[in-house]
Amino acid sequence: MSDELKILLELQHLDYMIKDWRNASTRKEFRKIGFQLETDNPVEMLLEKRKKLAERINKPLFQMYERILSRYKDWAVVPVIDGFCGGCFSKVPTELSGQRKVLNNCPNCGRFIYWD
Amino acid sequence: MNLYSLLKPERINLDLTSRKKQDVLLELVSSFREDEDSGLLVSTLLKREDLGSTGIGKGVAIPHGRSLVVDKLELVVGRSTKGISFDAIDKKPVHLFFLIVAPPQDPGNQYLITLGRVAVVCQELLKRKQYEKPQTPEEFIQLVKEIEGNL
Ligand SMILES: [Zn+2]
Repeated sequence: MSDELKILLELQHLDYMIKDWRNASTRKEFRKIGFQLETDNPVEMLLEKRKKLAERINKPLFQMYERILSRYKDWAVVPVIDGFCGGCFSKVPTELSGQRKVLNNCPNCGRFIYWD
Repeated sequence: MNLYSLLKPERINLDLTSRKKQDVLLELVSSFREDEDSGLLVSTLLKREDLGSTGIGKGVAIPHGRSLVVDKLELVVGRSTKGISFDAIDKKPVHLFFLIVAPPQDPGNQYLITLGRVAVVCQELLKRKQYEKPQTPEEFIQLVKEIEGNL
Protein backbone atom coordinates (compact mmCIF):
# COMPACT_ATOMS: atom_id res chain seq x y z
CA MET A 1 0.00 0.00 0.00
CA SER A 2 1.47 3.38 -0.99
CA ASP A 3 1.94 6.13 1.57
CA GLU A 4 -0.48 8.33 -0.33
CA LEU A 5 -3.17 5.70 -0.18
CA LYS A 6 -2.51 5.14 3.52
CA ILE A 7 -2.94 8.83 4.24
CA LEU A 8 -6.09 9.07 2.14
CA LEU A 9 -7.56 6.17 4.07
CA GLU A 10 -6.54 7.74 7.37
CA LEU A 11 -8.17 10.96 6.25
CA GLN A 12 -11.34 9.12 5.41
CA HIS A 13 -11.43 7.36 8.79
CA LEU A 14 -11.03 10.73 10.43
CA ASP A 15 -13.90 12.07 8.37
CA TYR A 16 -16.19 9.30 9.64
CA MET A 17 -15.22 10.32 13.17
CA ILE A 18 -15.88 13.99 12.50
CA LYS A 19 -19.29 13.11 11.11
CA ASP A 20 -20.14 11.25 14.33
CA TRP A 21 -18.96 14.04 16.61
CA ARG A 22 -20.87 16.62 14.58
CA ASN A 23 -24.07 14.72 15.20
CA ALA A 24 -25.68 16.05 18.39
CA SER A 25 -27.64 12.89 19.21
CA THR A 26 -24.55 10.71 18.70
CA ARG A 27 -22.59 12.99 21.02
CA LYS A 28 -25.34 12.68 23.59
CA GLU A 29 -25.19 8.88 23.35
CA PHE A 30 -21.41 8.94 23.82
CA ARG A 31 -21.87 11.01 26.97
CA LYS A 32 -24.58 8.68 28.27
CA ILE A 33 -22.26 5.70 27.85
CA GLY A 34 -19.77 7.44 30.13
CA PHE A 35 -17.14 8.75 27.75
CA GLN A 36 -15.55 11.94 28.98
CA LEU A 37 -13.64 14.36 26.80
CA GLU A 38 -10.50 16.30 27.43
CA THR A 39 -11.60 18.95 24.98
CA ASP A 40 -14.67 21.19 24.82
CA ASN A 41 -14.67 21.07 21.08
CA PRO A 42 -13.92 17.59 19.73
CA VAL A 43 -14.81 18.53 16.15
CA GLU A 44 -12.33 21.38 16.13
CA MET A 45 -9.64 19.09 17.52
CA LEU A 46 -10.34 16.50 14.83
CA LEU A 47 -10.35 19.15 12.10
CA GLU A 48 -6.92 20.23 13.31
CA LYS A 49 -5.73 16.63 12.94
CA ARG A 50 -7.30 16.56 9.49
CA LYS A 51 -5.37 19.63 8.44
CA LYS A 52 -2.09 18.09 9.60
CA LEU A 53 -2.84 14.86 7.79
CA ALA A 54 -3.74 16.71 4.59
CA GLU A 55 -0.36 18.44 4.66
CA ARG A 56 1.32 15.07 4.27
CA ILE A 57 -0.01 14.54 0.74
CA ASN A 58 0.34 16.84 -2.24
CA LYS A 59 -2.26 19.52 -2.65
CA PRO A 60 -3.83 18.37 -5.93
CA LEU A 61 -4.38 14.92 -4.44
CA PHE A 62 -6.03 16.37 -1.36
CA GLN A 63 -8.18 18.65 -3.50
CA MET A 64 -9.24 15.64 -5.54
CA TYR A 65 -10.18 13.85 -2.32
CA GLU A 66 -12.27 16.84 -1.26
CA ARG A 67 -13.94 17.04 -4.68
CA ILE A 68 -14.90 13.38 -4.72
CA LEU A 69 -16.16 13.59 -1.15
CA SER A 70 -18.32 16.64 -1.76
CA ARG A 71 -19.73 14.99 -4.88
CA TYR A 72 -20.74 11.69 -3.32
CA LYS A 73 -21.15 12.69 0.36
CA ASP A 74 -20.28 9.16 1.49
CA TRP A 75 -16.67 8.18 0.79
CA ALA A 76 -13.88 8.98 -1.59
CA VAL A 77 -11.65 5.93 -1.16
CA VAL A 78 -13.12 2.46 -1.63
CA PRO A 79 -11.83 -1.08 -1.90
CA VAL A 80 -12.32 -3.17 -5.04
CA ILE A 81 -14.37 -6.16 -4.01
CA ASP A 82 -14.37 -9.21 -6.31
CA GLY A 83 -13.47 -6.93 -9.21
CA PHE A 84 -16.17 -4.37 -8.51
CA CYS A 85 -15.77 -0.80 -7.28
CA GLY A 86 -16.89 -0.59 -3.65
CA GLY A 87 -18.43 2.82 -4.32
CA CYS A 88 -20.49 2.48 -7.50
CA PHE A 89 -20.37 -1.32 -7.89
CA SER A 90 -19.33 -1.18 -11.52
CA LYS A 91 -16.77 -3.64 -12.86
CA VAL A 92 -13.22 -2.36 -12.63
CA PRO A 93 -11.20 -3.10 -15.81
CA THR A 94 -8.83 -5.99 -15.15
CA GLU A 95 -5.85 -4.09 -16.56
CA LEU A 96 -6.03 -1.84 -13.50
CA SER A 97 -5.88 -4.73 -11.07
CA GLY A 98 -2.25 -5.41 -11.97
CA GLN A 99 -1.32 -2.08 -10.42
CA ARG A 100 -2.15 -2.92 -6.85
CA LYS A 101 0.28 -0.57 -5.17
CA VAL A 102 -0.61 2.38 -7.36
CA LEU A 103 -3.35 4.82 -6.56
CA ASN A 104 -6.12 4.47 -9.11
CA ASN A 105 -9.50 5.99 -9.74
CA CYS A 106 -12.59 4.07 -10.70
CA PRO A 107 -13.17 4.82 -14.40
CA ASN A 108 -16.90 4.98 -13.75
CA CYS A 109 -17.36 7.08 -10.59
CA GLY A 110 -13.90 8.58 -10.11
CA ARG A 111 -13.49 7.46 -6.49
CA PHE A 112 -10.05 6.35 -5.41
CA ILE A 113 -9.89 2.58 -5.50
CA TYR A 114 -7.55 0.06 -3.95
CA TRP A 115 -7.31 -3.72 -3.92
CA ASP A 116 -8.02 -5.27 -0.59
CA MET B 1 -30.24 -6.68 21.13
CA ASN B 2 -28.05 -9.33 22.74
CA LEU B 3 -24.37 -8.79 23.12
CA TYR B 4 -23.54 -12.44 23.62
CA SER B 5 -24.76 -13.28 20.12
CA LEU B 6 -22.14 -10.89 18.71
CA LEU B 7 -19.32 -12.48 20.68
CA LYS B 8 -17.09 -15.05 19.01
CA PRO B 9 -14.55 -17.21 20.87
CA GLU B 10 -11.80 -16.26 18.40
CA ARG B 11 -12.40 -12.59 19.19
CA ILE B 12 -11.95 -13.04 22.93
CA ASN B 13 -8.47 -12.82 24.42
CA LEU B 14 -8.51 -13.49 28.14
CA ASP B 15 -4.78 -13.09 28.52
CA LEU B 16 -3.64 -9.82 26.97
CA THR B 17 0.12 -9.45 27.03
CA SER B 18 0.45 -5.75 26.10
CA ARG B 19 1.39 -3.10 28.64
CA LYS B 20 0.72 0.10 26.72
CA LYS B 21 -2.22 1.77 25.01
CA GLN B 22 -1.01 1.51 21.43
CA ASP B 23 0.13 -2.09 21.89
CA VAL B 24 -3.10 -3.28 23.41
CA LEU B 25 -5.12 -1.67 20.62
CA LEU B 26 -3.00 -3.54 18.09
CA GLU B 27 -3.34 -6.75 20.07
CA LEU B 28 -7.13 -6.40 20.03
CA VAL B 29 -7.32 -5.43 16.36
CA SER B 30 -5.05 -8.34 15.40
CA SER B 31 -7.76 -10.78 16.37
CA PHE B 32 -9.54 -9.92 13.12
CA ARG B 33 -6.98 -8.04 11.01
CA GLU B 34 -3.34 -8.90 10.53
CA ASP B 35 -2.35 -6.88 7.47
CA GLU B 36 -1.72 -3.19 6.85
CA ASP B 37 -5.33 -2.46 7.77
CA SER B 38 -4.54 -3.15 11.41
CA GLY B 39 -2.09 -0.22 11.52
CA LEU B 40 -4.69 2.01 9.93
CA LEU B 41 -7.28 0.94 12.46
CA VAL B 42 -4.97 1.51 15.42
CA SER B 43 -4.10 4.97 14.17
CA THR B 44 -7.82 5.79 13.92
CA LEU B 45 -8.52 4.41 17.39
CA LEU B 46 -5.66 6.46 18.82
CA LYS B 47 -7.09 9.64 17.30
CA ARG B 48 -10.31 8.90 19.10
CA GLU B 49 -8.38 8.33 22.33
CA ASP B 50 -6.81 11.78 21.92
CA LEU B 51 -10.23 13.36 22.47
CA GLY B 52 -10.43 11.68 25.86
CA SER B 53 -9.65 8.13 26.92
CA THR B 54 -12.30 5.51 26.25
CA GLY B 55 -11.24 4.05 29.59
CA ILE B 56 -14.48 4.91 31.39
CA GLY B 57 -13.24 3.95 34.82
CA LYS B 58 -13.30 0.97 37.20
CA GLY B 59 -10.97 -0.95 34.95
CA VAL B 60 -13.05 -0.86 31.77
CA ALA B 61 -12.24 0.60 28.35
CA ILE B 62 -14.38 0.65 25.22
CA PRO B 63 -12.22 1.77 22.30
CA HIS B 64 -14.26 2.31 19.14
CA GLY B 65 -14.23 3.53 15.58
CA ARG B 66 -15.67 3.26 12.11
CA SER B 67 -13.84 1.77 9.17
CA LEU B 68 -14.37 0.47 5.66
CA VAL B 69 -11.93 -2.26 6.62
CA VAL B 70 -14.88 -4.13 8.13
CA ASP B 71 -18.09 -4.98 6.33
CA LYS B 72 -19.96 -5.77 9.53
CA LEU B 73 -19.60 -4.77 13.14
CA GLU B 74 -16.64 -6.39 14.87
CA LEU B 75 -16.58 -6.84 18.60
CA VAL B 76 -13.41 -7.92 20.40
CA VAL B 77 -12.97 -8.66 24.10
CA GLY B 78 -9.66 -8.47 25.91
CA ARG B 79 -8.81 -9.13 29.54
CA SER B 80 -5.67 -8.41 31.46
CA THR B 81 -5.23 -9.63 34.99
CA LYS B 82 -2.32 -7.28 35.62
CA GLY B 83 -4.11 -4.31 34.13
CA ILE B 84 -2.96 -1.98 31.37
CA SER B 85 -2.25 1.71 31.64
CA PHE B 86 -4.80 3.38 29.37
CA ASP B 87 -5.12 6.96 30.71
CA ALA B 88 -8.55 6.02 32.06
CA ILE B 89 -10.65 8.81 33.55
CA ASP B 90 -10.06 7.49 37.07
CA LYS B 91 -6.36 6.87 36.24
CA LYS B 92 -6.73 3.22 37.17
CA PRO B 93 -5.31 0.42 35.01
CA VAL B 94 -7.73 -1.25 32.63
CA HIS B 95 -8.52 -4.95 33.02
CA LEU B 96 -11.39 -5.37 30.61
CA PHE B 97 -11.55 -4.13 27.02
CA PHE B 98 -14.40 -4.18 24.54
CA LEU B 99 -13.25 -3.00 21.13
CA ILE B 100 -15.95 -2.07 18.64
CA VAL B 101 -15.29 -1.39 14.97
CA ALA B 102 -18.26 -0.67 12.75
CA PRO B 103 -18.60 -0.02 9.04
CA PRO B 104 -19.37 3.61 8.14
CA GLN B 105 -22.61 2.56 6.51
CA ASP B 106 -24.70 1.54 9.48
CA PRO B 107 -28.40 2.24 8.85
CA GLY B 108 -29.75 0.66 12.05
CA ASN B 109 -27.13 2.51 14.09
CA GLN B 110 -25.88 -0.79 15.40
CA TYR B 111 -22.65 0.95 16.38
CA LEU B 112 -24.21 3.17 19.04
CA ILE B 113 -26.65 0.52 20.21
CA THR B 114 -23.78 -1.93 20.73
CA LEU B 115 -21.66 0.68 22.52
CA GLY B 116 -24.54 1.37 24.90
CA ARG B 117 -25.16 -2.30 25.50
CA VAL B 118 -21.47 -2.95 26.18
CA ALA B 119 -21.46 -0.19 28.81
CA VAL B 120 -24.44 -1.77 30.59
CA VAL B 121 -23.04 -5.32 30.48
CA CYS B 122 -19.65 -4.06 31.70
CA GLN B 123 -21.22 -2.63 34.84
CA GLU B 124 -22.55 -6.10 35.63
CA LEU B 125 -19.28 -7.82 34.74
CA LEU B 126 -17.53 -5.56 37.24
CA LYS B 127 -19.78 -6.59 40.11
CA ARG B 128 -17.85 -9.00 42.36
CA LYS B 129 -15.23 -8.97 39.60
CA GLN B 130 -17.24 -11.50 37.65
CA TYR B 131 -15.14 -10.86 34.56
CA GLU B 132 -12.21 -12.57 36.29
CA LYS B 133 -13.96 -15.92 36.52
CA PRO B 134 -14.17 -17.26 32.96
CA GLN B 135 -11.27 -19.55 32.05
CA THR B 136 -12.16 -19.88 28.38
CA PRO B 137 -13.74 -17.62 25.74
CA GLU B 138 -16.76 -19.94 25.72
CA GLU B 139 -17.21 -19.44 29.46
CA PHE B 140 -16.96 -15.69 28.96
CA ILE B 141 -19.75 -15.76 26.36
CA GLN B 142 -21.83 -17.91 28.70
CA LEU B 143 -21.33 -15.39 31.51
CA VAL B 144 -22.44 -12.51 29.28
CA LYS B 145 -25.46 -14.57 28.25
CA GLU B 146 -26.39 -15.14 31.89
CA ILE B 147 -25.92 -11.47 32.73
CA GLU B 148 -28.12 -10.43 29.83
CA GLY B 149 -30.75 -12.93 30.88
CA ASN B 150 -31.01 -11.13 34.22
CA LEU B 151 -31.09 -7.57 32.86
ZN1 LIG C 1 -16.77 3.39 -8.93
